[in-house]
Amino acid sequence: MNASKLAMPQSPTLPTAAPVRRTRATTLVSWLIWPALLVLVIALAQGIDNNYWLQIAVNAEIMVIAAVGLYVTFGLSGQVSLGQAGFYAIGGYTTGLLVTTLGFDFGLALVLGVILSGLVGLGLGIPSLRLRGNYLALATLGFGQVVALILVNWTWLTGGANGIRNIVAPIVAGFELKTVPDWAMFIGVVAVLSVFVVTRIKNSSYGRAMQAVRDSDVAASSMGVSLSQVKVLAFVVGAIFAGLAGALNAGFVTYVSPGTYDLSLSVTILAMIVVGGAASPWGAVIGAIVLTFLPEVLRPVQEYYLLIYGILLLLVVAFAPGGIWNLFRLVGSLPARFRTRARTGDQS
Amino acid sequence: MIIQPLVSGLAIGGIYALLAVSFLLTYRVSGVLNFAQGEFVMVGAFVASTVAGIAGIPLIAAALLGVGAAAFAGVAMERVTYRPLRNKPHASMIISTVAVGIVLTQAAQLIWGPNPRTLPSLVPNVSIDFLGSRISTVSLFLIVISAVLIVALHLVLTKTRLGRQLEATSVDSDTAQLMGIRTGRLVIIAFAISTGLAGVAGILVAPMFSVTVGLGVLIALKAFAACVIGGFGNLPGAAIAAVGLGVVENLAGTFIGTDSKDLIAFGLMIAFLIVRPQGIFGAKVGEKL
Repeated sequence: MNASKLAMPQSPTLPTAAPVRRTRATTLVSWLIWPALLVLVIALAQGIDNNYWLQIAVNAEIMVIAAVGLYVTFGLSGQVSLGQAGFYAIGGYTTGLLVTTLGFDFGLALVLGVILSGLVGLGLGIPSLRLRGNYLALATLGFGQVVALILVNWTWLTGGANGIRNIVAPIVAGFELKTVPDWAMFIGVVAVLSVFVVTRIKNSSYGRAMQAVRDSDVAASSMGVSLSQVKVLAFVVGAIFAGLAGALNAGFVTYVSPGTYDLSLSVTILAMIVVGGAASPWGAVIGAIVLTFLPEVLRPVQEYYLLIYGILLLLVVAFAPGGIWNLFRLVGSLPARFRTRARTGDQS
Repeated sequence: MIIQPLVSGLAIGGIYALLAVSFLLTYRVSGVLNFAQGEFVMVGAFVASTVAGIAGIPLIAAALLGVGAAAFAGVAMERVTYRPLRNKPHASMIISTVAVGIVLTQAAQLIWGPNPRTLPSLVPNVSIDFLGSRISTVSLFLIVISAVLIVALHLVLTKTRLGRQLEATSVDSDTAQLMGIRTGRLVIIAFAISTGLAGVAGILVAPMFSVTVGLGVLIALKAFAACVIGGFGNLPGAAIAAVGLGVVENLAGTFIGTDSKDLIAFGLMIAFLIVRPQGIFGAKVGEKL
């Protein structure tokens, strides 16, 4: 019995016998978590006085944004994208180009970069509707490659191998983002907002439709869910957040160059969802943080890092398909389960 | 003028074709789209170049060992990806093969280090005159070997008992099993042949480039593109598309510019996925997808 539960990590409800009751207290907690997280990221931004670790933290926040976006595409609607790096690049390069060559304000450039990522996602998503599973993975893989090749080869636009340098710091709410703590605060707030938006999407009617499409598109469409709308929407949301992450990254590191945006970035973002857990946005958050800090923790055995990472990915997919989040949930649900078992004598 | 790029296009197209049919073999029999196929190219080439470096071992033996190593690694991969995941959603399988690719690349990096190695060609490299152009024997060798192997594979798949069993497994694994076909064993055989062929591709292509951990990545991506263009259901179709892709890309590289060379393959692939996902030769996209 236990094994079959483990095999179905994506089932939206906890496999407990008693229905989960949402008391007023849990609702309150689920709302209070947002201001608490905002306070946490601001405290971290001010509290970590080691610049190096703060930079890693900012990278983690950026990856959180990209990962929760892909959570909507992959976790909620079950579409595998191996091309997130392409959207990340579009966000970063658009922002960088607008700021450096046309002198746009960073904020405006960022918004335009995000919009462009979303539009490209729409352009790729609509025709890809007809593609399922492996084919969609291939199409996105090809898309990522095309973007990576354009970055290197269209020197007149992208600066080729040199990329774009000196992307000037933006002014947010009247003060210039200059130092790493400033950035940590800004990106941290954006990251928390992103997770918030994604949890709202998850609990909206669209989110439920996405999960229905993921679990059975035939059943979903016979219930009146528009497959095309829902799938494209999920894909575009993923593209938008990847573009946002890329644009923020461009601003933070002040340059963009093609080496960053290769297939391994796409794989890493997907791996974050898988390792963290595809059943919840928090899984994506955990995955993004864990996989950003893991290389730092493993620095003493640096040459083995990617090997460990590959093996970890293999093991998680094979033996812990719900990822870290599911392990948390299993541990969290143990007391309730014991209680149920004690009460009913049921073995499940 | 046109003959030289044409011949090199056919040669690289032959490599793409070898890899394309090796993809399709495992894909059709087991449903696994192996995103690590390119890494087996690299494994074959690395093992062959290491063995060939040992004095006294003939090159052909080194090459065969390289192919064997790739096939063995493929069987090991079947154990860790297909077997535990066959009833899981396809997303798990995709990620699992990507992970195998990472593991193989990193293991190779640790074993053989970052410096590129060389592997001599099995035939001496001489330029011969052909209709006024100079073409290399290495290219001709590539064309001949890949053509022979692909035709041989096609014959095995269509004319032999093993081939019919593989076909039955790919059409309907459950029914095949009920008919007494040991589908589990056939999947292992399919993996071994498939990754072995990738190893052959590595040994053939290594003399043209040098042996690095990234040797197979671009080739594999091109082979993917060729499978899409030719049609996933259709081995000869994918092979023809792969050769065509090699030629088109080489001619474009010569006459338009090397910048556009790689873009053409992926641009065509996306265009086909969008306009005609079943490819040129494919039947309607089936259930398995």
